[in-house]
Amino acid sequence: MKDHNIQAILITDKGGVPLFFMKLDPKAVDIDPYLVSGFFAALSDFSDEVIEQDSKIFQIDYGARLFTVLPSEESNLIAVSINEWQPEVTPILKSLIIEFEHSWLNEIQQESTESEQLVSRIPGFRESIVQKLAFQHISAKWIPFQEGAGIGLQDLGPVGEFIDGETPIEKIIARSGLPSEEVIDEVARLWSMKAIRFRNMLDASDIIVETSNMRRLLQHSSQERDELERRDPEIASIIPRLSSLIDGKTSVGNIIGQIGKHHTKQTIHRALDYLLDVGAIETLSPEKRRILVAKRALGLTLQVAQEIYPPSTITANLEQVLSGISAPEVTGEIKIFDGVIQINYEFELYEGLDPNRVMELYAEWISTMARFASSLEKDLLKDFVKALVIKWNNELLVHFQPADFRGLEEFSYWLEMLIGGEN
Amino acid sequence: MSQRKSGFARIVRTLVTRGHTIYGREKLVDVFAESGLELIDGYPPENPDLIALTKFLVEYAKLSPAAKLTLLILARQQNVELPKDIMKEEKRFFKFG
Repeated sequence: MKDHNIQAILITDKGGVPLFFMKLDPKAVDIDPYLVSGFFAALSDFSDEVIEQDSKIFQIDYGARLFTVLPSEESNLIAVSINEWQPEVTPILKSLIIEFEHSWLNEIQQESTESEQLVSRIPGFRESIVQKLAFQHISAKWIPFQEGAGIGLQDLGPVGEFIDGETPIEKIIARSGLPSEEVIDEVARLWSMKAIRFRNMLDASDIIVETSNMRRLLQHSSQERDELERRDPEIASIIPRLSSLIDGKTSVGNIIGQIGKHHTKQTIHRALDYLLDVGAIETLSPEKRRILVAKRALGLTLQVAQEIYPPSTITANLEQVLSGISAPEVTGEIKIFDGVIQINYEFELYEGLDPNRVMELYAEWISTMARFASSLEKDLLKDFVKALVIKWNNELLVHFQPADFRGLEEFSYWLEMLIGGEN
Repeated sequence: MSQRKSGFARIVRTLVTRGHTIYGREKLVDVFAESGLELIDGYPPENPDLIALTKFLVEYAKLSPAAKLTLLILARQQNVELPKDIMKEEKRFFKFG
């Protein structure tokens, strides 16, 4: 089994119709076949030629994710991955698409193409994928639980008897006496077969945001809240406190640290699991994490500008810049009132947006920053950037993950051009 | 190659490509000359010398404060620490500036 960065695999026919979909990263909650085909539809416009020319493999870098397309005789395999591509995975994917066409394509052609089947069809092929590619980022802290009541414990294999919805994987390893690798592989297999799901999946470094579903849980008179108060009063009481801390920029670790003085870690995690489950919160997707970085970067840039330049000119410049920006999802997030500039770090405006739009918006944020920098008086520009180096180094770059900063360098290249090479 | 070295090599390769359009070839050749990093067809070699790579980054940072900002971002993306000399001046600036 190979380690890799692949989050999901989609196979389409030559016309782009999805035939098969499988997620390899349980935490990639935002990935579904529609998202991948959405991305793919956009790229296939300009890549039709390439696909037809029977090229061996090509990749499209969307900044947060890399799309690797392997065209084959009757279908295309699209692998969605994060970070850098590992070339040793390429031959495995090639063997998978060959296996698919030879052994499984016929089976699919006899069925109708419904999306539900898309994520569960041809279990034999799924097993084959599990055997060749290790599952990503399954943490020993996660708690597996059975999904649905259809499958008996004995069908869950050697670890089945330990899966009770309360025992984390690390304890299953200890109790079963099986090697940890075997337990994780088994758990991964069960998850890929949709027999189990996980709880306790949030990491300290995760950033979560609320969705509009949260509102119902905060309204005293709503049916949802009523039900929760009856079922789990402890969670019902903790949710409003949690909600006040979920601002789109505070990490899960910091939220737990803040609220942990009054509640146990387990209770907080239970509440977060519940909120995830009902879709009242979500972890930020890689695309949104990059937008958050861009928002933070702009916020800090404006702060520094107000220290170096007369603050009133900064708000005037920003107003001017914003009047030239056509994306309401950017201009609507920046508030200028009485000389004070505020950026909204929440993501409600981005709910339900087409993934391509989210990618475009990243470019809009970077472009807003670039335009703002261009609007600044040249005499003090060097001092401004010097101060910006310190600010970003202390308050931006130390937070977030390396991959979150992809694309941000476009802004500093722009600054390099504005300043020029004379020092 | 160590993670640091391969990270530096990637940063240098990116800077060579982008630096051309920002500073022009001449200026960039100066940076290379100063660092002693040899070029093969305009790019750093397959297995470059860590000392020369480090020197290149230090020299690049001298181009402008914005160049330094670029370095900081690229280093974070590669998850490597920049040579200490690059941030030294900033601390001074912060203290007395």
